[in-house]
Amino acid sequence: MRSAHRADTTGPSRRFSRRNVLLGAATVSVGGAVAGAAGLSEAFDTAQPAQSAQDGQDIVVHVRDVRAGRIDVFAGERLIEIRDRDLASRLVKAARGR
Amino acid sequence: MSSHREAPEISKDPVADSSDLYAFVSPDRPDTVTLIANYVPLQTPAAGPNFFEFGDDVLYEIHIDNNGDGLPDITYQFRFRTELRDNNTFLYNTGPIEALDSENWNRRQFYSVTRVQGGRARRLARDLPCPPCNIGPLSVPDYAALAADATVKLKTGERVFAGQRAEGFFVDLGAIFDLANLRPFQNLHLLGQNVFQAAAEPVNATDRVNVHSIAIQVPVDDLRGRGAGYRYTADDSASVIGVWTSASRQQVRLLKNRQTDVVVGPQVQVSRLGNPLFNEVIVPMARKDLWNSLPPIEDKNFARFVEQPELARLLPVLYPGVFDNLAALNKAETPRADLVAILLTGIPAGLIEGFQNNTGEVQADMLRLNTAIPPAAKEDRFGLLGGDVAGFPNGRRVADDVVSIALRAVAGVTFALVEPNFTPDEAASQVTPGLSAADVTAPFLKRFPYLGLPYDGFNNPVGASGS
Repeated sequence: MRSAHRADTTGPSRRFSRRNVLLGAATVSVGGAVAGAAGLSEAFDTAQPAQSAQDGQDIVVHVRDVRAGRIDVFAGERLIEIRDRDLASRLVKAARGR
Repeated sequence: MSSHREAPEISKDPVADSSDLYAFVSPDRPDTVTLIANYVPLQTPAAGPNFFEFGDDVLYEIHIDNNGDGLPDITYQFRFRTELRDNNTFLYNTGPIEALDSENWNRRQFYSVTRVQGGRARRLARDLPCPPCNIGPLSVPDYAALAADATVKLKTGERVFAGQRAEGFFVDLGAIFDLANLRPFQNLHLLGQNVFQAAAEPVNATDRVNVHSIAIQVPVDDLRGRGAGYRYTADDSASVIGVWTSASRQQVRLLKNRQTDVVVGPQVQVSRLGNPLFNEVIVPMARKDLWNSLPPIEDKNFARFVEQPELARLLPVLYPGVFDNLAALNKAETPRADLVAILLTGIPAGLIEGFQNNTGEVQADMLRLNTAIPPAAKEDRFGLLGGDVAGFPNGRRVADDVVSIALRAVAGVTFALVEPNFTPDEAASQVTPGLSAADVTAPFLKRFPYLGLPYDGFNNPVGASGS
């Protein structure tokens, strides 16, 4: 048995299309922008950690190699490796604020 | 130390830092094996207001290889969850904690136990309570009773405990890392002989501190590979299990306001421990973090550090004229097959009469336990080197003097087992930091979970009054 960890993964098995990766990236981006304004009041209003950090809905995208379009998508307890040069370049543009 | 803060990165992450691993046939229940993995090392008992705890974001595992391939055949996973009872107090407790469900106890931890075998994960229990930290006599009047209540026998036969215990590892840390200036031999040390006129008493640097232990006692047939019907004997490799522990974290963490941090991605191993001192003393500092991230099956890549250990080269230099035979062995660059056997493959039959804990050719750092060898009627703290085949490096018991055993092995005592023409230096069988289990203030227990009751924060550290 090579990997005990994988056997215990309980998160839903999802397929990641370019569209929902973009949606995920956009969600992360918007969430980050809002946090600065609403973060404090939110922290005092909710004693428990916010659900978004608990329910496996968050998606984090790491553009590993822009030229090759290699992108790592982190969601739940999974890492999904995708190749999409167009998406990678668009994310880089987004990161540059363009 | 055994594996406390043994690598640069994990030294900054104590919640995930495995410090000691024990595996032994339970002396009071010889039809079971006890496995103990210690984390969160070097806890000062007076630790308020935020007392030590396991990490809710850490996956703790104890792995068992029962067919010698260096891969886990059985894994016990432990996941923790913390609950706050009162969001409006800064206190860990607002009165005495006399029961595990005490309303005075604000910050409690619970955990689940999952057994992974054959690619299938089965959760054996969830919401098991940890006892509180031992704050002091007013807050925790009877830690032993709380710990007893937090010791649970599962329906599947395992007995489990997860919570604070007294540190059982004993080591003169100050001496060892001050250029291996062992106090009983300090006047023979290369530099020490200019400073010290005589030997001195050792100091147990890890006395009166606590750890967090994950202890599980498992029916022995549930760990061995051939089932209950098989006749296991001490000379059969099927009787030998290899054990290690690991801690993992999810790969990505986005820091926000700490209450809404995003944690995603697969588990990534950040800490590993099999034999005590392997990563600490054998692996060079530049590779320690890497070693912690790898599974035991990769340890063939570290075999050269076992075959030519740096410590063996240092001893003749630091103690001139004391380790001449070891110096000659070093000069010949003869691979240390004895250390490779002890640490990476297990000791094959034929080297020590009536003993083997060999798992085959695969080189992997695992704590190897021959489960067919019964507990010793009277333990020898030097384990196998003291003629006690139930002790380290056949598994590891809580009172085994693993530092002295390792020092003596590296100094050449065990090389004579594989090369009869080699004569170990006289000092090799005497070298020791000079400590024993008697130097641990909290006595070990004769029953599960065997490690002593944790030191309380009111009376430790000891004040001028000695109270």
